[in-house]
Amino acid sequence: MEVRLEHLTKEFIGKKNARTVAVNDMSFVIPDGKLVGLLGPSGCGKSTTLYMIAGLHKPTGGQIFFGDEDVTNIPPENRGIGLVFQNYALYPHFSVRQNIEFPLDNVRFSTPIDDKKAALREAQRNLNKAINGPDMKVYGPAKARYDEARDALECAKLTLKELKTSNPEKYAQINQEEYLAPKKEELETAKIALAEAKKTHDESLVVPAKQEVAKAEEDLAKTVELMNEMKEKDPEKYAELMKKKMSKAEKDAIAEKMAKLVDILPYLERKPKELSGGQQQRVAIARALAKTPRVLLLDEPLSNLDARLRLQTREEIRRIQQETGITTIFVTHDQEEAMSISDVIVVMNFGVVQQIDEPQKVYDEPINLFVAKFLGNPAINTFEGEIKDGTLYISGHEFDTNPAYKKGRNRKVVIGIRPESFAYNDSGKVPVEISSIIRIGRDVSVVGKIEGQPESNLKIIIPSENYAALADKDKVFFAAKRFYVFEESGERIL
Amino acid sequence: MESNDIALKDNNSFDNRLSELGISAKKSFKVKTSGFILPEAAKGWIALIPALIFLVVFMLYPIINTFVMSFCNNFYWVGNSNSSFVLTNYFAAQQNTRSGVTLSWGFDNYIRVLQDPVFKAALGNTALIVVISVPLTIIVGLLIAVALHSIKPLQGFFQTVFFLPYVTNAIALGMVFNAMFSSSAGSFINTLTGIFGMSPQDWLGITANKWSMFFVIVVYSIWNGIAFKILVFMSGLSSIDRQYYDAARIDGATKGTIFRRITVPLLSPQILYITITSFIGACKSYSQIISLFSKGSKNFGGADGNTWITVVGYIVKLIDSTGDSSQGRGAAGCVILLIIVLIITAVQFLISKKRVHY
Amino acid sequence: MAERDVYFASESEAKKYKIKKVLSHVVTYGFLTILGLFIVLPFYYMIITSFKSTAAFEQEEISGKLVLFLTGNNFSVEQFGKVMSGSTSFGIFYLNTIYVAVISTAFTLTTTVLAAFAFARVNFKGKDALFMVLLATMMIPGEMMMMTNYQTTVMLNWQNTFAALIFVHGVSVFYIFYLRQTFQQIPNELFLAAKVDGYGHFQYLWKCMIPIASPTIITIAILSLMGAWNAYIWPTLIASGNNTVLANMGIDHSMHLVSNGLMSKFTSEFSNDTPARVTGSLFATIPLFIFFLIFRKSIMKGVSRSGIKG
Repeated sequence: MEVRLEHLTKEFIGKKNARTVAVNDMSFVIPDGKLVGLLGPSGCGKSTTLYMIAGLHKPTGGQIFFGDEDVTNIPPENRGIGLVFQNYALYPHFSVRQNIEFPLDNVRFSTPIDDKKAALREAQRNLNKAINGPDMKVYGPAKARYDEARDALECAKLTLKELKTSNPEKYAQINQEEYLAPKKEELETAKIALAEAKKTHDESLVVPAKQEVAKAEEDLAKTVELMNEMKEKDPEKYAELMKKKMSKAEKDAIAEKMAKLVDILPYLERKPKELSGGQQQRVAIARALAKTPRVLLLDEPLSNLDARLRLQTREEIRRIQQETGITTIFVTHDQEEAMSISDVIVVMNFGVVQQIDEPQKVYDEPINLFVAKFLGNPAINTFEGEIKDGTLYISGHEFDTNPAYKKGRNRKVVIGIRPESFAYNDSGKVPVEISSIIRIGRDVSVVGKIEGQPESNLKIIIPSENYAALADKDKVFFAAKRFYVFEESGERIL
Repeated sequence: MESNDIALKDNNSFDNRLSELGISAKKSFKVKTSGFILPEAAKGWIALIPALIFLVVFMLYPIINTFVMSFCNNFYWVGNSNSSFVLTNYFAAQQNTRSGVTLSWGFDNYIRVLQDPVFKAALGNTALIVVISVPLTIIVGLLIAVALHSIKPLQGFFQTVFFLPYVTNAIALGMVFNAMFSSSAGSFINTLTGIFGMSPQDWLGITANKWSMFFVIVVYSIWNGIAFKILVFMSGLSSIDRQYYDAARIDGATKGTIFRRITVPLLSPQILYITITSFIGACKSYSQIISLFSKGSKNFGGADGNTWITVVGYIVKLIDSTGDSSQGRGAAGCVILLIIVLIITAVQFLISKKRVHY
Repeated sequence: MAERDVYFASESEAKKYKIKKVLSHVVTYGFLTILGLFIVLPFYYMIITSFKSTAAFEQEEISGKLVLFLTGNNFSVEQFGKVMSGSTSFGIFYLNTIYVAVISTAFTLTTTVLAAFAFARVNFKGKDALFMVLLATMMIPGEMMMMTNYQTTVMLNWQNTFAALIFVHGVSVFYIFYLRQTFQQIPNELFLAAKVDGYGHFQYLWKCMIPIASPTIITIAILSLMGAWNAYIWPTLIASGNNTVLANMGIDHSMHLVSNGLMSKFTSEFSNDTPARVTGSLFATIPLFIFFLIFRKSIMKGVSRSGIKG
């Protein structure tokens, strides 16, 4: 199921009517069957967005679509979603099985007869609407013309009456018949036009509506007949079609299927508190999937797990999502988590979407300084730079030339270089004063400072074969294999 | 074979006919929702209303009414269903009470109550009971709790024994005490004291000394009130971290020091809670006293039946009496009791701010 | 103190420590035993006296030679017959008390659960203000309401009816407050999860909150049952005659509950019959005692929890 958000806005009104905008005019599309990570620092509105998709928060503005269906005003239980809470929210007094079956307990099926009855009611409602609430487009102008003509005639009669007392001379002069004739004529024409319009209206709206009702009645009768026949000849099928509640066996089957899917089958009869965090997490997912949701939502699914379980569980989520093919949206503040399992990442900040793309693309081509800084560990190094006459300088050294710098005036900019984008090169353009060099496995991690830059915690990661060349040196030149240039306001220039 | 074929055919025809009618044979989920959804606020009030009706009628209104009644100088309640001092009767009562007198308002009831020697005695008695029996009960209860907490074998047994008074009917056991303390030479207590060479005496009867009655009252108050206090202290003690005791031991503290410097301060929330509730409870002493004397609900010992009357006893005596503004005086007594309770609470909270270590 | 390993400098010191420990145990157990006897003696006295014949007991009292044991001379079960006979027998008191206790507890639980739920989980205007008002009334002694409630009850013609005993004190702010605290500790996510699963407010209350809060609800039920069993002042004031409703139907049925029934028997037919009086007390005590022995753990836990939180 594709999920589409259009101009979604959420304002919270706090004490003294102070407004906080949690989500601001957000629009994006989550494609069908994808695993999407909503990523951002805490307080950026990602959980609010998730809760709005779930229906637990009512948006202040905008719309949410599941496929073509507008679900903005549909309550959560009818949206067909599954939601996994950050702390799992398992019902402590239920066993695992009861937890998974709980969403199914309240499921009601409609029977074919119910459906047809509902259709008949709908048709009758439409008919009533057609009869009682005339469609003014068809009917309106003719009615207005008739009303006007009638009023004109009345008015003329009144004028005559008044004249009779106030100015009998003039009254005598007027030929009444002649005076009133055109008005009467107009009224007659209007009357015919009105009748015509009414006829057209009835033909175009009431008659079809009546036909709809007749059709629905017939359908209902046919269905009842068919079901009665089926009741005798094929009671099993009849029972299946007419059943309203899920049987215990069916619920059990679903619970077991779900438990198998998330690998908790042996624990079905246990209480949640007898399970580990990871197992509880799986139960929560199983419960969310029990109703075969159109969309699965996960709120910080890994934050309550320890480091090892986290790695394992995120793979598990990926697997379950791929097995079920359900569009899945999860919220996280951990960029690594988002990067590792998502098909698509939505980076958010201050209630605004910053960038939506595949994880690697978001990393390689950040749209602005926030995204560049938020993704990557260790974080991207940023320096003060300056564009002067189409050339980019760093601490007064010429760094780069590019046509892109020629646009606009001379100004200060921000240069970003990821730690792994450096290369040791004597003719490189980044002079670094080294404060420490550590060899970690296959990498060398260099911490240092660029002369004239405030940032003293520059981090460089290069392959360890460079270690010998770097050791014992205080100042080294590096080349930047890849770098980004941002305006001071954060927009990306290059 | 053949019948099977037919069934199959039928099945197919059903499927065809179903699809003709646009009915899918596959079930889809639908969660039950009622068409009309009650607003949340309405749900809140619906849930509240049952409780609220009774709270308003039997709690909020009586509080207000008691205040009003206490300031009405001459309301005569005659005890039938048409003369109750309820809202609808306020205006009728304004014009004409029983004797056709117009109601007047003021402090007459308070003045009369405060000048009544019986009320003065009740105040004094209540104060004595509060001052003597409450601290005694708390100290004994605390000692028992600490002793109980320090033992392992038989702890559950003793705990149950000390809890027994809590689940016994206070009236019934008061009457047992009455029998035990009876004046005859062979009564339980006189037999016991006889062992120590004391002559039999009348503890609670008409000829009894006021202070021997008081002794029994205090003993019974301790017996009756100790269970709850031990229970609360015990749960407080078990929530104190063992580390404190271990640390104190390493520092070489003696048992007495540990009790005074660690147990009592760390138990201060429970001590404060128990002190406040017991002081307030003792201010409202009534049932245990009449049960000790066992001569009905308006006899408080002695020849006149008023020897150990308490404030609540004074109020109870006036409630269903129809005499001269007795209801008004009872109401005034209630307000005075309220003021005393509020003062005690306030004072203890002020003290606790300095003393309680949370 | 629990057993633990202690190291000593010398053998003699170890011995000294051991003696000290034994002594402290002797003191502790001695203290507990003496006070335990103080608690238990009235019960013992109550039981032996109930099994004495009036004649033998009076003989013992007058002669000053109380026999603290049951012997062939003083043993009799005549008291039980006295207590259980007549139109004001303990059988009737029991029936009345059990009826009032059960119905009023059911009533209390219903109103308390609903109100606590509204205060804990439903959002509506004026909720907090209303709750503060109710909390404030907890400071006010119940005696203050007694006066007006007496008048109201008389006006409603509820004198000597079960309604007066069940409804007037049927709603308690303390219970509402206590249950609300428990309800509030249930995480809100559980409510949201139930909402996603298609359950409304009241379904959630029934299916989740009540089962989860059941320890507190059981505590409230126990406290309410015990309160009804031990009630004295109010029943004495309002219901110490014959049942009004049944009287209109021509049936004489005493309205006495256990406590005030006992007092009335004490001051009338048993006023000079000590063993009968004590047997009455025994009868008033025994049912609650059995109740306690069955539910000992949950009663003690419940009372101490409500004590600390209240």
